[in-house]
Amino acid sequence: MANTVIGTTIVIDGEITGDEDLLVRGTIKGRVAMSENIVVEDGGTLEANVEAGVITIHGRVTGDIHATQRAELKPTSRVVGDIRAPRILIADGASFKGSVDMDG
Amino acid sequence: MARQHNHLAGHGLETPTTIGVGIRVNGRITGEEDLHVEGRVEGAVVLSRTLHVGASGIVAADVEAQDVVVHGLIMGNVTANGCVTLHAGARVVGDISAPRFIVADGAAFRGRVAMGESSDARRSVASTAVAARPAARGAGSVRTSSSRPASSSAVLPRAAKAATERKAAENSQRQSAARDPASKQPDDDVTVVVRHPAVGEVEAGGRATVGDKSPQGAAPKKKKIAPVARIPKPGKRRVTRR
Repeated sequence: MANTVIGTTIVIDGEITGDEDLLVRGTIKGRVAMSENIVVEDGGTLEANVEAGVITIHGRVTGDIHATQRAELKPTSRVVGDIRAPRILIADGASFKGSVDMDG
Repeated sequence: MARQHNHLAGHGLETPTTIGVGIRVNGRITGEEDLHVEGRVEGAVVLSRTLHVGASGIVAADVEAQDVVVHGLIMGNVTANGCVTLHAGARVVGDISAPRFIVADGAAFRGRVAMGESSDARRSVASTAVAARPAARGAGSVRTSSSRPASSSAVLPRAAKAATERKAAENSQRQSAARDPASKQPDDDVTVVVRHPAVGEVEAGGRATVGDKSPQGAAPKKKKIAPVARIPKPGKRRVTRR
């Protein structure tokens, strides 16, 4: 269970760094760099470049995604941006526009 | 490695927004729900509900919220529409502007306090409760209750008699409260008299904004009548040379 939760009405405009799990239900603009997992839930919006271990997306992400372990796009996800991850899972129903680089 | 799933969400129980211990947010946070900060926040925080700063929380930002509850560190100005509460272990450096302000024993505070008019009697009760505790303790670290009696006595006449018994405790404490009475004025009645060398007469009661001396000084220079000249009296004059 994530320690850090960004609620649905919260808008963060800036940079988030840390070494914890992050659960996003609100909006983050800027940049996110976590060493652990990030989960963007269905109502969450990320207009940011994201770097993390495992990135799981149920919501909207506009920005580049750099996962050091795995990137998962769930059926309700809408992603615009490039994905760099060694493992990628794009579920049926996900919407994705961008390039994929699995060299990482 | 478990999948991240907040199992509480399914039960309708909302976990409040929390900035965990290892998280650092550098930017502006706005929101319409409670925010718990256990990590580090820099920038600005604007909430329409409550900001909770946990014991490990560091907020180096200006805060605007409905209520603010502090167990950790805030470095920045705090503006609240409701109540600002400093618990034991809280450290606040910055100005506080709120109609209600509670400081618990063990909190440290440095800054100014501006409280608006408040008609509820709860504040005077809270102030006497807070004052009773530091009177029993010796001098030592900053006694923030000293800022409280200064503010409440300026605004509430009923707390005046409570303030007099705290005055003895106040004298042996830090000077942070000494600045408060001088600068304390009810928020809605602020009258700032701006005296500028270019302005001959003094305007009183008009402007309530501080800090706009230069534009005010520049404009009157052109439009206003020349300052009243000092006409030296006729007769012998002593010329002093410097």
